Amino acid sequence: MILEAQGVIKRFGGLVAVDDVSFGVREREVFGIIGPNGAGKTTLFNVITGFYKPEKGRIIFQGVDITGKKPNEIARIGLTRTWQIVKPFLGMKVLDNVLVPIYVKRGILRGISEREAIERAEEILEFVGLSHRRDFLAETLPQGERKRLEIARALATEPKLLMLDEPAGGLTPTEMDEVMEVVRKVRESGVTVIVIEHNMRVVTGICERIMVLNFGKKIAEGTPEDVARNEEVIKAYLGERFHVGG
Amino acid sequence: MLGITGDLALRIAKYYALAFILLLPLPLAGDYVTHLAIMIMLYSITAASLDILVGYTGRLSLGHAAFYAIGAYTSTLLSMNLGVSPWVGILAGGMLASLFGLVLGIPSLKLRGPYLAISTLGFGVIVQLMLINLDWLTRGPLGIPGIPPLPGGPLDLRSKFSFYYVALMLTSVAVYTLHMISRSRIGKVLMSIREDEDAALSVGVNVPLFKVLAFIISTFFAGLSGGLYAHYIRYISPAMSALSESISILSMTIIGGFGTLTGPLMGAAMLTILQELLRPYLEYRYLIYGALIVIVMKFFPSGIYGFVQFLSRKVRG
Amino acid sequence: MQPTLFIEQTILGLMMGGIYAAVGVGLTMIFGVMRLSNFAHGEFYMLGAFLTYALVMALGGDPYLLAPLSAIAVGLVGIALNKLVFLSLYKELREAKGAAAFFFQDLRFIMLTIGLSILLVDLALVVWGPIPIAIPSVFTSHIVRLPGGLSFSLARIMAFIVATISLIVLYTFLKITKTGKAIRATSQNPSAAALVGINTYRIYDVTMFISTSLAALSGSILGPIYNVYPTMGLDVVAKAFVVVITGGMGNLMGSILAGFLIGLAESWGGLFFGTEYRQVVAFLIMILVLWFRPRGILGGRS
Repeated sequence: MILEAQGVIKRFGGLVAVDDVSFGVREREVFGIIGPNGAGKTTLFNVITGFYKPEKGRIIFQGVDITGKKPNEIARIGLTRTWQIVKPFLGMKVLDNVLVPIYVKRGILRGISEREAIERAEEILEFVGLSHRRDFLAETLPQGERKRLEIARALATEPKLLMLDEPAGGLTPTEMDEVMEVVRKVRESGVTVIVIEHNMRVVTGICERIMVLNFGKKIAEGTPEDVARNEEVIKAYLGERFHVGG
Repeated sequence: MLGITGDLALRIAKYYALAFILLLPLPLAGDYVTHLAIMIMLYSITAASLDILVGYTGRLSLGHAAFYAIGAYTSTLLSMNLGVSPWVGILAGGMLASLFGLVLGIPSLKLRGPYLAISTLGFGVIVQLMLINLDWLTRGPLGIPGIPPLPGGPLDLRSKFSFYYVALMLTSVAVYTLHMISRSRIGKVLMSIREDEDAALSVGVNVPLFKVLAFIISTFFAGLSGGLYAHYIRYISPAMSALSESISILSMTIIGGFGTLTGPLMGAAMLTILQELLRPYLEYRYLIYGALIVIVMKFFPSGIYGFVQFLSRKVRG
Repeated sequence: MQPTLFIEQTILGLMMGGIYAAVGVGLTMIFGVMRLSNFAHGEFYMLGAFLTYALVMALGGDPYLLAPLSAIAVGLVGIALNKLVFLSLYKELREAKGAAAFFFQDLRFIMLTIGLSILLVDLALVVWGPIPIAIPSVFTSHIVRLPGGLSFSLARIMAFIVATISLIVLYTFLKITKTGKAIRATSQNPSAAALVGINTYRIYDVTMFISTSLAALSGSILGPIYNVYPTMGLDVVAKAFVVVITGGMGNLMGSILAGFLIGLAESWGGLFFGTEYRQVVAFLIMILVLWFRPRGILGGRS
């Protein structure tokens, strides 16, 4: 197991956003986390990556207890996340967006030479298909490209485990395919991936195993096929349909 | 080193060299113009130093003049009471200002927006009150006259003519250094914090460390320029730390165009000259000054330099 | 220390606190509703005082009667400036994306209001001159003597009463009227408020009116006690911000509480450490509060 969460509880006032969730992610797999809106998926991400402190439970990454560590420390040991609402460094060039994590990882005062750093950044941009945007300001990119820049920036931290928060959310089908392609390539390069995703096409397309959350609780775990047949999962999703009216 | 290629360092250095050469004959225009130019240069260092904090890191300060004053008082007191050379005193002033920058930077880490603005404002007010009330050290509200001039070997640095060249050299070096920092790896990391703290954290940036570093860098240069001012004007008073001074410096940085480093230099020049031009209209001076700030901020929010860049892009197509 | 002096300073501090609360509440409302840090807030306080002075001179009568008139006039000036200077910026702010864009808008607001403040101070200087003026009032010379050797001028008591009443009126207005509820809704969530049909830009005007007229009223009622002069607002605005931040920006009750707290602390600070440190006391309290609660005692928004 590259990542293990043990009995994680996160409360906001009276609301239990993450309720005693335990799961493990194997090395080099793509692990999906799904669930209706407000199920606690993003909160769980925030707990794992150090943005929230859990009330209870432990997070073990590569055998090391990282519970309560700061987000930047967690990123530097190889666990990096992206954001559901993408947060590119809008006022900076695409290349600089990717350079910042490279500097942080490889040394600001010494270490990697500027030429090497730029070469690495260019490789990563090539990898996600953004080479042609190298010198554009991030704010000029359309949504689909921003999502890929977000992944590029996370990859620049040289993660062992990449956590993607709805990488295909709000995208057109074509853009979605591009992002899925990138995720597959990331995985092939030896990086473990956790994905939060709403879109079932994306989930079944890239995930080997899935965990389902509802009201902060884990209600199922298994292959996409197993999970799709799970009664409780069907009920949870039907319930959501009923409430949302869709 | 630090992520600046030799190429870039050289290209920017060329601009500075060109400006340096163009500014060489300026003292021929007489003492009045020379004095004005020196004041513009001193403000340039301060406004540019503030840009590291405001424009690059996204941290507002309404108390920057305090660091300018700390630099000035440190150098003055060291040279007058302990006989330290003003050159060393100025450096010490920068360092002490930096130390105070650290003192202000750490507790204000979590503050944003107006919370940070008022805390830094409060810091400026407290420094001013200290300078007024610790009169056994600072001689209180009357200030300190008779500060020794900079020793210049064969040059008499009491004359505006010679001081101008010293100031020109030091300003070039100081502002060029700030420019290099802004383009360095540190500069880019600071910008990532300005753009989005959480995103910066999530890719491994030690945000608190770099916020404090921005304070240290910025206040060091403000302190330097305060020390230079003290040995140029040779009189200092607690008014140097007044809120109006901090606002003046901030106006230069922002009206000039923050986050560009070139903008604050233009802002320092323009606002200093404007103040002079408005001098005959004594009463209406601040009416016009205030109106100008309102107009620029409403219609040219990225400042004068931003507007110039916009125009030049238009012209080039 | 004499107990009388202590009690007197305590009461004076609380009275001053009432004024701080009134000025602070206006400032915090503007921030809460339109995210505007108004560094020109003190100038509305100053304009109110001068206008009351002008009215007293022109019409005769007592400043405590004419103050509401000048408050309304200043409130209208507030609305005009709101439409002229800030309206387009509110619209831009709604479309702003990313943390840097919000920082940028904050900066613009701050610089714009600083510019306005400089402009208005000079305007007052041109119109009324730099020399401090006292607004004549019959209440100033009346001294109320209380048992134990305590005495206060009736003007101070009047000022405290007016400030307290205006705070109660404001609180009731926000709680029970439709407009008041709309203001609170807009403050909590502008886009949701707009969605349920609240004309938020009109709410901004109303908020600006309330805020500036409250400042003007405070200036007017202190005019007979302290002097009236063009830079009087600058002394007050820093204090008002300290109050607002200590209470939590956008938090009305926080500001009222902090107003009294700071008024009291200043009075005591002056008593124990000497008057030259009065101002430091206010800032120190703010720094202490921010150290332990970065969003103020009752919590505010950022």
